[in-house]
Amino acid sequence: MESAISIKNLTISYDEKKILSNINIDIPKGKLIGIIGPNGGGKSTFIKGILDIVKNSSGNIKFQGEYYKEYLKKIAYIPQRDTVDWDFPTTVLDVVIMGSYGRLGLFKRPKRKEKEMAILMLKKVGMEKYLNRQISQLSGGEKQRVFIARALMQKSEIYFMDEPFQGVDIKTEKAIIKILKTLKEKNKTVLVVHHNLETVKEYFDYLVMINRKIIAKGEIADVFNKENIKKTFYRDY
Amino acid sequence: MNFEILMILIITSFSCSLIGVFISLRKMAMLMDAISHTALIGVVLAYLIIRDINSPFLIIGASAVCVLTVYLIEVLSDKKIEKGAATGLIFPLLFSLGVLIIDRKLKNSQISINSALFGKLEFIIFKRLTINNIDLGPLALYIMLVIAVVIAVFIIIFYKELKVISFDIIFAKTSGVSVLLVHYLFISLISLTAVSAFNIVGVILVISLIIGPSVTSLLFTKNLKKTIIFSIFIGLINSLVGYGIAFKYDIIISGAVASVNMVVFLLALLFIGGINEYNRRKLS
Amino acid sequence: MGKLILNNYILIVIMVGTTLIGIVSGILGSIITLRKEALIGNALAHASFPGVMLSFMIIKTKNIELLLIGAGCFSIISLVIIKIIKKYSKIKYDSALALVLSGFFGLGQVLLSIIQNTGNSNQAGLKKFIFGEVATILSSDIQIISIISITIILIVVLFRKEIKLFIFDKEFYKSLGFSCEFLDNLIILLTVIVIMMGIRFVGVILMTSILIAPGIAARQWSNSFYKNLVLSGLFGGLAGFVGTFISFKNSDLSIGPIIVVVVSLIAIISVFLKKVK
Repeated sequence: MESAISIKNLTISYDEKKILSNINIDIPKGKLIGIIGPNGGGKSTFIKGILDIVKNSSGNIKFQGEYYKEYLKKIAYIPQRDTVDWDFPTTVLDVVIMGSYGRLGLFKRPKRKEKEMAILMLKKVGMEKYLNRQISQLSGGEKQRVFIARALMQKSEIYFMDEPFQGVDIKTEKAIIKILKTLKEKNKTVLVVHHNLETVKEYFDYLVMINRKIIAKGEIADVFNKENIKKTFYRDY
Repeated sequence: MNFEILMILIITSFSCSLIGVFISLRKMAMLMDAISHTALIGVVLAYLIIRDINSPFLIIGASAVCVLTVYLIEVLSDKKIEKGAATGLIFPLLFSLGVLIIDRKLKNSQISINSALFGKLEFIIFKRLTINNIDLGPLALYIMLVIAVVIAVFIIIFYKELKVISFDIIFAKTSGVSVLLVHYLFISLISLTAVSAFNIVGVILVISLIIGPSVTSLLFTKNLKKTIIFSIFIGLINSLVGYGIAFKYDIIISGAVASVNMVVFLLALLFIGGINEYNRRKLS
Repeated sequence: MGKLILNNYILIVIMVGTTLIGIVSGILGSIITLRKEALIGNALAHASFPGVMLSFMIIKTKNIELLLIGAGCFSIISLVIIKIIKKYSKIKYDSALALVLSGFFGLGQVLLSIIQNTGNSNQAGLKKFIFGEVATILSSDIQIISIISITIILIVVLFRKEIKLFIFDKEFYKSLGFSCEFLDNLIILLTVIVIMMGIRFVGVILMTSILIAPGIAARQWSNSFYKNLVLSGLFGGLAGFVGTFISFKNSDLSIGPIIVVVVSLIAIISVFLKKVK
């Protein structure tokens, strides 16, 4: 099993309190990976630690042998929806095109090629009719789909999603999972912080169960059982 | 009406509208207020070292002090102090240190706190740019023209970076956009603007020119490019109206324009509110 | 000997004033900082400028108390406008603050020019407004300031439980049947009064500092709301006291900036010595 990310000794603190201690794990490539655990147990912090967007974090993290700074452009991160200013004067299409900015670099501008690709990505998430819609007029599920289209623009190898199904209707949720499975088929690695235990088996192939440390990791069939759930969710660490 | 004063005012308004849109969107309005105040102190400190009121290095030194202010505020924000509180802690401290230095060492200096706050649009035209004894116009006009060009070029080159950083900075960072570089270039640019403009229009009008037109524009627009254009346009109109009123009633120009900026926004807000109310009633 | 007593008398009078101002600024400032509205003090202070001018135009004398009442009214008007902007538009809070701050101050400038045009020179008065002027403070002023300050402290002590709930658990506060508007207005009113008193000592620009810095300092030492209030008051008062003393030893330096430097240093040292989680 090839590993997409190899994490050694990841420790993250907040105010002198350890949120995650000594995480060691190899994230397998080409799988749809669920990250589950109780609230406050460090699921979000785990991804933020890998992406180096959190303070007081130490550890050795390599992406297919490269460090984050070198591999950065092959990673797409879809954060929780409330980190964005939805009153910003911009349209859906514009937001998706922003996904290409990192790849373009400092002096190139997005041109017709980027615009066409953005429309294509919007089609993939079923939002092509909303091209010129102001982002403030979107519903929760629609906002989520726009974010995914934007992430798809990055043409990444690894995708991180933080609780993408919060406040999203079932239809949208199913549509999103379908897209994620397509990514998996193209041998991309997708990590999803997830909160609904009922859908874990249906959505993911690989699971990481976190509560301040890794309680269990592995294929769904091996790892997603009553004992591990109890250990992850019903104990304090 | 004095055409030269009007030109200086309009060019300054243009520059401020351009950076103002991004400052408003990035919630940096009060930070800009802090930068404007420390611009004064920056000039004082730079003057202490350079001792030449006409040196261009004065502007650069003062801008550096402003950038330092922003840096200190960001450092404190990292220590879990809310941004507003950090701002309100740092800039009065630096401002006070500046005033104390003036008190002790520059009692009879040419630096006037009065004109720093209120500007001296009425008098700034007396300082001319002369080459080979040819009067090319007020020096202030050329300084602000250079600033305007620098800002315009910067925004054109880094437009997409500024856009994504203003909209979703975390996404910008994680998708490989050069956030740190553009951010600090932006801070340097707005510091430069503050330092150059405060001497001409005063600290308060700088803030007004930066925020007023851009927030008025944001009430109406759905697109960043249109916001910028509309903001420039509104800034222009406000400046014209303000100067007109100041000229007619013989009152201070900077005060008039700052007041107009606020009043126009409030009128626009009323207008939009009225339209919304009308639509609501029409639908029900 | 007479001069010595006189000098010391002035020192004591001013010291009492600055210490009291420091205490109440610290206390109210702590409250508004905990509500994450730290810079409102900055806006309220600047926005009072047209109020002073308008009062002067109406009463035509330099009666400090009346001028400050006019100033206070305009501060409150500015706050109402800021709230309207927040409620009816998507414009962000800090932009609203900056707009109103600069607009009102500009209005003040306009009124000032009108006053100057009618021959009533007020130039010197302007500098005092911006930077504070301790020199003209009389012992009668200090008496008024003392009474008001003590009243404010008593009110805060009286309502401390309600304020605490209001800041940290608004839902619970509402569920107990208390009125949010009442407490909100009370806090604002007290803040405006504190600012009106304070700007006579430190001026408009620096008022923000004596509101915010003590609160920041206190926050680094305690998680308890009540302790925060007490510590803020202490730090503010200390800064006023020490600042005045230093200013008297160095008569060429303005007193406002010295107080600000002292209180800011207290805050910064506290941040780096942080004892609390």
